[in-house]
Amino acid sequence: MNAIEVIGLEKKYGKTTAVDRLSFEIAPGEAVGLLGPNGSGKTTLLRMLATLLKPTSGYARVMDLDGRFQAPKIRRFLGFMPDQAAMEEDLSVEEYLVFFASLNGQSGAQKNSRVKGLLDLLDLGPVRDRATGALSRGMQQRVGLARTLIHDPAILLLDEPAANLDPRSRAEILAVLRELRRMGKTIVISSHILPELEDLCTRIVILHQGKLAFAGPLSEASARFRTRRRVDLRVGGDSTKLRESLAENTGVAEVAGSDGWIHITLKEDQQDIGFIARRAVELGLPVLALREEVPGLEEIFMQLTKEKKEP
Amino acid sequence: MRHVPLAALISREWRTSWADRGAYILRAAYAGALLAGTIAAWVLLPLVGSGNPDEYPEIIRSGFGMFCRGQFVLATMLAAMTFARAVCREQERGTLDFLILSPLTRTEILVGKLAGEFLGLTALVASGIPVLFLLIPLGGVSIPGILWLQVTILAQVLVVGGVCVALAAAIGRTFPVMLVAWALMVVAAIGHAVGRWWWPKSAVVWNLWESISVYDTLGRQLSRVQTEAGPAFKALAAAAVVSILCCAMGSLVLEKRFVRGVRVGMWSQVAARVRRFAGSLSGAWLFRPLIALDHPLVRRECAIYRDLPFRFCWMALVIGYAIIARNALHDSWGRWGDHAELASKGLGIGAVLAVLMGAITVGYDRRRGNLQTMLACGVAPEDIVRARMAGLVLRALHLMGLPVIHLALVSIPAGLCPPGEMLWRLPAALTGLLLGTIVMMDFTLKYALSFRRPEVAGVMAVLFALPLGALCMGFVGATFSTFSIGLPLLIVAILASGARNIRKLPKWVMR
Repeated sequence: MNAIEVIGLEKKYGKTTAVDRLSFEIAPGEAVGLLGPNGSGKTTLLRMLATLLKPTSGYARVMDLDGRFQAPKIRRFLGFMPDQAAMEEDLSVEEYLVFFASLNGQSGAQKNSRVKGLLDLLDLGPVRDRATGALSRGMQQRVGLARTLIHDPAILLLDEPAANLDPRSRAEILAVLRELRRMGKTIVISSHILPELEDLCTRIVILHQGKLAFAGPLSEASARFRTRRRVDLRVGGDSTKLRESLAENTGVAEVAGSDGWIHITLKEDQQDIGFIARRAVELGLPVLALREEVPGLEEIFMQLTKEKKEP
Repeated sequence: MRHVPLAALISREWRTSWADRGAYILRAAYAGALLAGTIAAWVLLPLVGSGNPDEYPEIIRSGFGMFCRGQFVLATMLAAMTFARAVCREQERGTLDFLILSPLTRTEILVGKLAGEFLGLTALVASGIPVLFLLIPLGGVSIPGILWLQVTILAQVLVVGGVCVALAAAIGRTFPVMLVAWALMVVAAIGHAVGRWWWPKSAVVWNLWESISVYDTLGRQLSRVQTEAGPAFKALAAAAVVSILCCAMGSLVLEKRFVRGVRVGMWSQVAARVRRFAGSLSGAWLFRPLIALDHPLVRRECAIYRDLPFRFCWMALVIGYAIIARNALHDSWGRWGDHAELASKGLGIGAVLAVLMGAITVGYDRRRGNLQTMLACGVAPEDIVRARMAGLVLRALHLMGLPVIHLALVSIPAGLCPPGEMLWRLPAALTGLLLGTIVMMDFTLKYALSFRRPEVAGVMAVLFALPLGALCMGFVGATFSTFSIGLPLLIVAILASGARNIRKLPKWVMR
């Protein structure tokens, strides 16, 4: 059973197609990064998955429940955090969480322990009595995450949870998300901060102009979008001769150097990288380090969106 | 376990809207105002009429009747504001998503919000009841009488609440919801009378309408010697049914509007067409500004052809005025008194609209941070205040212009202005009108900038700025001596008040 199964999902606003017949699957316990430029349909997709928006056509199945007919049941499994920190400004943090716990049918000891647990998990204890409207943006995001987790959902849909946060707050939110992933939650997270997604997610879904540009494991994306391999080499002694020698090799596209490293870009058909180390040894230079650069999420994202822009 | 989430929602409504400092102050102010009125009744009663104690019950009864009608109108206004804000605020903040994702159904969400706010308003009404009991020793009113009339007023609150919740689900913006709800309540109160006059053949419909109208129930209760519990509770039960039906209807609309996503609706299409027309040469003449516009901010504020709600309001007012004038006066062109009455009422409605719209537009501009941005960009506070004032006065003059011209034309035949005094009285009245309008809009601007909630600023402006403006208008235009004293005094007062607004603007906006 998939946690989420999207089948031909489409959303149109008048003549504009926000999401164009998407189909992909997310297994339970996976952390999936949802990427795409602004206006690519990420928020619309998340709102449709959260049953807050009806698709024009197609449907999504969540925990084997059909989004078209079983929305109230689906909502029990979902925790949705929108991109804006929507707060009840007049309630204190604790009152706010207690309200949402009660709204989800919790009462008595269960409610109190749940709220206390979340206050501890998200380090909200020191601000529990402060009005949510008076909190900093970072704290509000944490309170929002606590609200999302209040009914212990199996699936988390997070729309830009770390947007507009300072690096420390971002790191703290991501640490909580890693912990949640470890606890077995399925996480779908939309973000523009790609290096952090790379750290958290095992799979990515990339949208471009409402269409599915890529959906699959990060490693597959790296392999697919690796057009040119880059190898970094560090040797002892003077590396000038080695660089000249490598530049003359037919399998090498470009050789550059900085801070004692030699950056070698290989041609597309060049598979073997052993010749680089062999050449260094032949020239009597000790090989201190040799590493292959794997294209990161940012590179994949740029490449995908660039490809789509160019007709 | 469905009662747990619903109770949580009602409790939250109570906590966030009616358990804060402002709500306590409001209840205290209401009870205080009633206490002041009651003390005044005790002190002044011997001075009214012949001073005979046998007449006291009748005087108290009639005064209490007037109070109840006033309370009815105020309760309608306040209820519309409260209920509209309760639902629209959820949508504006984005917190409605969380309620929809909860186990509550949409109808339950709306019922929960309705119940929470109704509890708050009930507490407000209840806070004044013990004070009203102080009138009982004077005669004319009894404990059941006071209670049943207050129950009738609560029935009206519930009806307004239901209507507002349904409208808020459909429209989603506080101010339009309030306006539409008020308009509907006016129609509900007087519609059957107008209908009976317009189309007397459908008497059955008008009778039925009258029998279920809460305003008429209140009137019938007041006309009885002994107020009855039955009609009051019937009205409350009917109001509860109506409000729950409204919630159910609202939930359907919410489903359609909210879950299906943003759509380019009919209103937006019409608005776009009108905006295009207004920008054209042939359309702009309708709202051409009357003064030189040097400063870009003043130009922006006075570009009223871009202000769509104002424009629709103005058109509705002019068309409505023309229709009423045509229908009400077509067979009585000779009765100049009727013309004067119509013009006065038109002037009053125009002034109320100007004040309300002014307070709410400026208030929302402040809330959205537009004024803060301007100050941060280095725009001088005096430029902002002057530009806003120019815009407000211009809009007020547009809204009040037609009735004023009508009033000026009929003032001599209607006997408002003796022909011999025309030379000074007419200019004095027009000067008084201009100065009164400026005073009114100056206070409106002050309230809009200083109050946290634009709706509260609107109500305050109607309660205080409007009577003050009318007072200034009447003072300057009354006699030659009041004109000669009032004119310089008012000019100085307006300049001083403007200077105060300029001085305080950064404090109000930057907090």
